Amino acid sequence: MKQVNVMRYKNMLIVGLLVIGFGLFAVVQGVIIPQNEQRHQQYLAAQQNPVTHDLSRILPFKNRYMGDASNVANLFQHLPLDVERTYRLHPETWSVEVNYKEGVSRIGEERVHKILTWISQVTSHKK
Amino acid sequence: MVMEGFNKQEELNHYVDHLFRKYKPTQQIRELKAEILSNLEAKVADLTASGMNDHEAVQQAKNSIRSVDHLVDGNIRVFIHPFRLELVQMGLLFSLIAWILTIPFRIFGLGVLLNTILMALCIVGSIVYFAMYFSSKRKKEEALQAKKYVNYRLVAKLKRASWRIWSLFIIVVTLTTTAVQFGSHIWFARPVTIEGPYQWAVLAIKYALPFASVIVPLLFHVAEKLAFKYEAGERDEI
Repeated sequence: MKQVNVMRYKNMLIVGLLVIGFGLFAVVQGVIIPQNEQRHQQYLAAQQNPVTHDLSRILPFKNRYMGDASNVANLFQHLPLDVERTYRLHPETWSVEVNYKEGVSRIGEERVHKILTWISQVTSHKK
Repeated sequence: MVMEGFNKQEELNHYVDHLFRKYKPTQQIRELKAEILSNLEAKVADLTASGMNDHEAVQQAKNSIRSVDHLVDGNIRVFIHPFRLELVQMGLLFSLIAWILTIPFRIFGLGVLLNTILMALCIVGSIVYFAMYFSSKRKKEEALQAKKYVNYRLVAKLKRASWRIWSLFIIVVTLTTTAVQFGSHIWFARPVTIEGPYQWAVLAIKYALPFASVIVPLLFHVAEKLAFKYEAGERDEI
């Protein structure tokens, strides 16, 4: 009799755990993950705008050595204006030349101006 | 009457081999086998001496020993239906707990495959368990009293082996995770930085995930306990 009661108790526990499991699964898959994904997409979109760009994204690429090509590429990858580009380093003038392979008219002159102003500000070296 | 082509020694050897077909030829089994064979030979010799023909004597000797399960060391008779039912129930409970505990890891994009496998295991396990449970409710009392031999020594051996393999697995996986997570500090001279609670959580999850495999040795542990719980005793009733 005692054994039967223990079995029943465990059966109820199984049903309860199934309900909790599927409930939690639905919340995680149906609510939390889509919300996080949406927030992430919004954040990425905000990184393309100089007004909302998150400066902390480029801080890890602060480097006194300009010859680190992968660091330079990473730095610009984390800045607005996500278009194909090439780089040219000018160590004698301590500068980086970035050639964006996209017409200004396609992006918008005002936007390009704002973005380039922001990029030149945040990437300029201050001693 | 001598039957053509009938070799009583061969017949007895064949029968003894058949009786022990389930068992590995360990020292104990070989000794037991030899003992059973000599008993059968003695019985046949007695019967033929008293005037019975070879064929009948061998048949009668064979009838006297139908099974050797009760003679094998470590074999116990258990009520097989409740034993299986509770084993599946415990397996299902462990899988459910592991599944629920690993669901939040999906938020971090970690252990998704493991969690999906556990979910499938829970669904299949629930179907199997409740089918067994309700069919046992419908079964007649005599059917539920069915007994089978379980070798508790073998179960105990499997339990010990599974704990050993699991411990080894955990050590190897933990060391691998440590090497992958912190190795760059050594061979790339790039310091490892863990910033904020998110990265700590990711690291903790990477270490915690392999522990879900504890279900396997736990099931062997439970099987051993259940073998004794459902051992058919003097009363032979549940």
